[in-house]
Amino acid sequence: MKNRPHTVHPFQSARWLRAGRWCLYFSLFILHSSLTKGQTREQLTGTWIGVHTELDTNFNCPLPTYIRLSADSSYQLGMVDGSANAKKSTWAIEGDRVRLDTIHFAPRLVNVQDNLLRIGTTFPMVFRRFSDVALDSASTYRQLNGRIWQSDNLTVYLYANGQVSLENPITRQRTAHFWRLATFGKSVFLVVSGNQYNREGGYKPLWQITNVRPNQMQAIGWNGCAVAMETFRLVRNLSPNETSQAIGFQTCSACFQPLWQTTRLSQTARQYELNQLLTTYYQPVSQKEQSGLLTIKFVVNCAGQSGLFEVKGVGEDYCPKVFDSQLTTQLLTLCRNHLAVNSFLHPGKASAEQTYDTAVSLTLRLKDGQITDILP
Amino acid sequence: MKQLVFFCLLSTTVFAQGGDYQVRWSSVMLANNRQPMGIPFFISGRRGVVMDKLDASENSAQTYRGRVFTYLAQQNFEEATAWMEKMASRFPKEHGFIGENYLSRLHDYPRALHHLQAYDALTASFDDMIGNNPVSYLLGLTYRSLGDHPKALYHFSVGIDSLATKHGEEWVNYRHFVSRAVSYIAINQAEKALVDLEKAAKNYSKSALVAYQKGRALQQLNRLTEARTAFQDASFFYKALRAERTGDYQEDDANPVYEEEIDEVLNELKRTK
Repeated sequence: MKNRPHTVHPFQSARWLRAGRWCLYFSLFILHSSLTKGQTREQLTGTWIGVHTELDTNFNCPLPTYIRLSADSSYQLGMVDGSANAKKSTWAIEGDRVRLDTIHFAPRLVNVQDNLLRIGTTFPMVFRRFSDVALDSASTYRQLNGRIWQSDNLTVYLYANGQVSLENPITRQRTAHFWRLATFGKSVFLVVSGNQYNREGGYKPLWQITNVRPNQMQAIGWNGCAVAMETFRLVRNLSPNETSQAIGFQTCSACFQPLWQTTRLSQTARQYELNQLLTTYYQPVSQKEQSGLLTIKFVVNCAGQSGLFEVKGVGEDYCPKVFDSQLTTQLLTLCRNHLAVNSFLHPGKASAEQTYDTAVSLTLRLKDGQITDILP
Repeated sequence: MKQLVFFCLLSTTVFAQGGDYQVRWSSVMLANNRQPMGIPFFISGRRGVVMDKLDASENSAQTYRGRVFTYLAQQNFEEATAWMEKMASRFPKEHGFIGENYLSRLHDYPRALHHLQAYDALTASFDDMIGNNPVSYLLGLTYRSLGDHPKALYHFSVGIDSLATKHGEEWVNYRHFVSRAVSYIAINQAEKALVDLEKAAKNYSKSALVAYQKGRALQQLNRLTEARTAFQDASFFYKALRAERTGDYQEDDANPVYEEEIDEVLNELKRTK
């Protein structure tokens, strides 16, 4: 029998290294498990009131729905104001995944933190944990109706005719909607929906009223920065002659994002008319330095009102540039008078048929004050 | 899936948002959130670009393209062009993509020319494709937009003739014949334009664009009766296409034709008769 050559390890501590490697794998496994561990059933069980859906980094759409995850695995998705039948099904935690109805969420996409439930990362939906606070809806209505209430972040004008104005106390911008109280469990919610014209157009954030006294009320809701308990002080009673009116331009939709609704005029069938209008109404401002791209944006709401006009320019080097006011004023006037009207934007359509807001964008290339191109 | 999300998001701002709609919309958004989905650029808004820096070293050409698309969609021209220039220095093969964007999206012809020439120079003996068009065709369009029709004709011909010789004229995109014809008309060579437009019509016989340009060429030759017939054909094809399609439609963004324009020329010809 041949003697086996003695195995010589090039590195004497190789066995230790191998053992160390397994230790590292084990540690990583433990770390991975802790990171991927989802929410516990206890954390998720309960009723969750919709706050909003984060559709962009600076743009949220209020969520008027609730989710109920019961201990007996029943699942319910419904409207807080009871305006629709709830969708009923079951829910479960399956390993590191959560299932709601037939939707199986990837690991770590359903999270609870500080009584907020966040679902998803693409367009996260935020819900807050619901605590039932018993209130009498009839007496709450009597206390709130026909009065102005103000917190540090919001002023609410609750008109007796069912209309409501929401005002930002800092910017003084005021929007008009409709209001009513809705009971959910034993709680009372202030539901604000619709626009200045009718009850359609979506919902504003819900407020759960927790306490009402003659000169003060408290409510839980989204105050623009966080879900918080806001204290509203009574400002004064509204006189019967006062009516809800928007201050400044208001879109008809409560959830309007210009980026997704933009109509580029150069891509519409109206381009020929646009060319004609520019030829007719624009008097070139012949100045050497008036070259580059000029973009004008504005919004026309469902009733044909225009607003949110914005002018931006870049030079031929694509650095920000302010164009001569003689030039921009002409183009803004043209936009206001001829383009921001339904007859131009939606030809052949009766005003009543126009039910949505339209964001409009127009970019022109200028050379020495002359319009040389309309960009697509 | 992406389209589904897009339309769901669009519908958030559309009306008739009753309770049933809200419950349905919430269900759809829950389903959309079941995976950490990559966000399509056209709906990403600021979310898609907020974390990215121009000097990110590990980015691929595809990442750069995504950023360019996003910034162009947002009409942030400063960032879009900064990314394009940075992209050109890191990925020379992207000169073609960049040139095409300067040409078609920004109508910046000097910069388009610079990048298209740089792209063409990468393989001097080969007419490389950029999207659906050879670089020679885009160079032709750029020179035409700069008002240099002789050079435009040269480049249009490089693309058309090589393809026609190799595979036959029926394999040439009819829009390329139209573009060359437009340049011939611009330098008063309407006969040559008509030859090109005949070839274009063989490749697409229902084109309002071809009929309209044929009308212009015939008008230039003072063959007004034939011109009128051509414009009438254009009007007919335009209306037929409009009936077929629901959205706004241009046969060729590089050579736009408008229904009102055709009607105006027809009215003018009626008056001069």
